[in-house]
Amino acid sequence: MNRLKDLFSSGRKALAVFLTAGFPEPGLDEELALAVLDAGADILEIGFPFSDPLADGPMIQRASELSLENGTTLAKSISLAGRLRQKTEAPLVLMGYANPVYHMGYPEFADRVAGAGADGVIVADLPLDESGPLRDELKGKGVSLIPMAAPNTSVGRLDEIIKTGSGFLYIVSMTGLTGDAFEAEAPWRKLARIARDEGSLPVCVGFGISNGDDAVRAVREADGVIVGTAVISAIFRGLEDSREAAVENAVDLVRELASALEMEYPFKE
Amino acid sequence: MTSPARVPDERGFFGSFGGRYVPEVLIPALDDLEKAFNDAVADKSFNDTLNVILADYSGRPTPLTTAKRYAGAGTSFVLELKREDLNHTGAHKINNTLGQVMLAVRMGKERIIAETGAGQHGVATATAAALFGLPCAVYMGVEDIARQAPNVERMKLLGAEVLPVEDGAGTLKDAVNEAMRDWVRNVAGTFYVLGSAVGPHPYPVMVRHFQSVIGIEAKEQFLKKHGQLPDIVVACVGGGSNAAGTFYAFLDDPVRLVGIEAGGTGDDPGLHGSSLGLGSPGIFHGSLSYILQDDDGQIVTAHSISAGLDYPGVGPEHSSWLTSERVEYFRVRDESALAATSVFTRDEGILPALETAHAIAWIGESAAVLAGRKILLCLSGRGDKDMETLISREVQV
Repeated sequence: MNRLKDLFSSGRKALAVFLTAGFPEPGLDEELALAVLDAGADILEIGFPFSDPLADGPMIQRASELSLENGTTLAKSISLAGRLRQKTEAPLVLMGYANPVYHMGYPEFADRVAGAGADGVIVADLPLDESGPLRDELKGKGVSLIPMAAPNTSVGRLDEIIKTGSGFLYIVSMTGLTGDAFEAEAPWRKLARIARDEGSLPVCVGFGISNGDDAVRAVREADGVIVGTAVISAIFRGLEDSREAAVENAVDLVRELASALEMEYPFKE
Repeated sequence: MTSPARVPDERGFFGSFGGRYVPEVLIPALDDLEKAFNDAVADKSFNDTLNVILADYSGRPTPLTTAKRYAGAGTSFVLELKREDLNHTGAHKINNTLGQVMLAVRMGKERIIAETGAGQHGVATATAAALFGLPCAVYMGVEDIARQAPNVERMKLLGAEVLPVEDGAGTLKDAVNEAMRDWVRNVAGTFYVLGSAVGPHPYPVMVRHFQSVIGIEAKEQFLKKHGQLPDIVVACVGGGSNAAGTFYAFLDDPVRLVGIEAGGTGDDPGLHGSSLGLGSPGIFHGSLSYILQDDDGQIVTAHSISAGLDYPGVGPEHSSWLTSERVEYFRVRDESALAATSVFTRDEGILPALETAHAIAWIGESAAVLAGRKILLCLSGRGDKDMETLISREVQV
C-alpha cells in the first residue's frame, strides 16, 4: 500500500497540515489530528520536537518547546502516528530534525516508523548530501524520505534531489523560516515548474501559506500545499480561551483551506 | 594510534565527523563560501593582504613569553605562553574574524552577522566589520549579555547592533541558533562570521585555517628559543578554535597535545561543557560531532563559569582527534579555573581569560608529572572581560 502515491495519482490537490506531537498537551494532539483530517486535510505531518529547531520561526519553536516540556519524545511522537493509523487511512508523515533520529539510530527509527504505519519522513536538516543512510533504511521498510528543495537550489541539484526522493518533493517557498510571509510570485515557482515537468515526483509547497488565498495561489504550480505555522497559531489563539476553542480554530482554518482548494480545483473521481 | 585526517574530505568530513547538516536553503550559500575560501587561500594577494593586516593592525606575531613562577614554571618545568591575549581586542578571535570579513568583502557581501558567547568573538567581528566598513549585527544570549557587559558596550561603540537572544538558557547555543536563522532569511547578501571551528562545512576547516597562524608562529618561536619542539602543547576547548589553531602545526610531530574542556560544577548533565569528555556523537549546529544530549537526542544546556566554553558542542575535527587518540582531552572545574586565575595573575603578572584559566589550572594540577617537561600553552585571551565575574566570586586578583 502506498498512501502518498494513491493520493497524488487521484489528481487531487493535496492539503498537508502540520501539527506538533505533544502540543498543546498529550491527548489533545490526537484529538486535533483527527479533527483536522475530518475537516479536509489530506496529509498529516506530525512534528516531533527538537530543542534547537533552526528552520522554524517563533510559532513552531514555541510549540516544540511546549511539547518538550510535556515530555514528548521521538518515540512518543511515533506512537501518536501509530494510534492515528488505527483510526485513519490518511497519509501520515513524521517531521523534525536529524539529531533525535540519529540518536535513536536509523535502523530502529525506520523499524518503529514503519511499524506505526507512517508513510513518510521529513528531516529539515538532512539535505541531499547527508540523507543517503537514512533514506536507505526507510526505503527498506517502504517509508519515503521526503526531500526538500529551496528557491536557491540549483537546477542540477534539484534533478538529483528528485531522482533520489520519494513520496513528494517539498518545495520551501522562500529563503526564510516557517511562518514568514508567503510570496506567491517568487523564484520557487520556476523550481516547481521544472520539478513538475520532470514528472516523477509530486510537488508540494510550504512555508508561509496561511489562508485560502495563499493556498490557491501556491497550488497553481504544485500538487499540494503544506500549512504549519498558521494552524499552530490558530491553536495558540484558541488556547487563550479553551481546549475546545483551540480545536475549533484549527478546524475552521483547515476547512477554509480545503474549500478554497476544492473551489478552485473541483475534485472529480 | 591512527593518523588523523589532515584536511576534511570533499564532503567536509574529518574521519566520521563533520558534514553539512543544515536546511537545504543554506547549501548553495555553503557551496559559494567553500569556493570563495578555497580561491582565497590559493591567492597570494589575499594571503599577503591578510598577513599585513594581522601584523600592522592586530600586532602579530604575538610574543612567546616564558612563565617565571606559576606552579613551578621556570624551576620544575618550562612553560611558554603563546600570547594571543596581546592581539588587538584581546584574544585569538580576531585572527579568524579578519580572515572571514576579508572573505565577505571579496564575495561582495553587504552585511556581517555573528554570534557571541563571552563577547570576544562579537567584539572581534564588530572590529573587523568596522575596519572594512560593513554593517554588523551580533546575536548574544541575555545571560551572556548580563555577565559580559563591558564587551556589549564595546560592540556598540564599534557600531555593531547587539541583538539579545532570550531563547533557551540565553547563552552561546541560543545565539548560534538565531544567527543561523538570520542567515537563512538573508542568505544572499549576508556573510555569517562563525566564531569557532564548529558548524557546517567549510566553517570548521576555514576557522581552523585562519587560527592556524597561532601554532605556526609558536612552533617557530619555540624552536628558536629552545632548539627543540615542546613536549606538551595545551589549550582550552569550547568550540575549539584556539586549540585547533594551536595543535594543527604539531599534528605530525612527536608532541603530546592536550585540550581542556569546561568541567563546570560537576559531571551530571547541565553542570558542565565537556562535549568530548562526557558527551556522545550527534548532529547539532550543522555538523556531526560530540555533543551534550539526553536520551531523546535533545541538546542539553551546558554550564561553565566562562561564557566562551559554555557550549554543548565541539568542532568535528576535535571529535576526530579524540577518536584517533591524537589529542587527549581533560576537564577542569569552575572553582579550579577561578583559583588558577588568581594564582597565575600574581605569579606572572598576566590576567588570563577564564577560558584560558581552565588550561592553566590543568597545568597547575598536573605540575608533579610535568617536571622536566617543556610546555607550550595557548594563552588564548585576556581576562579584563571577566572582571565582573571575578569580583562577584570574590576572587583575589
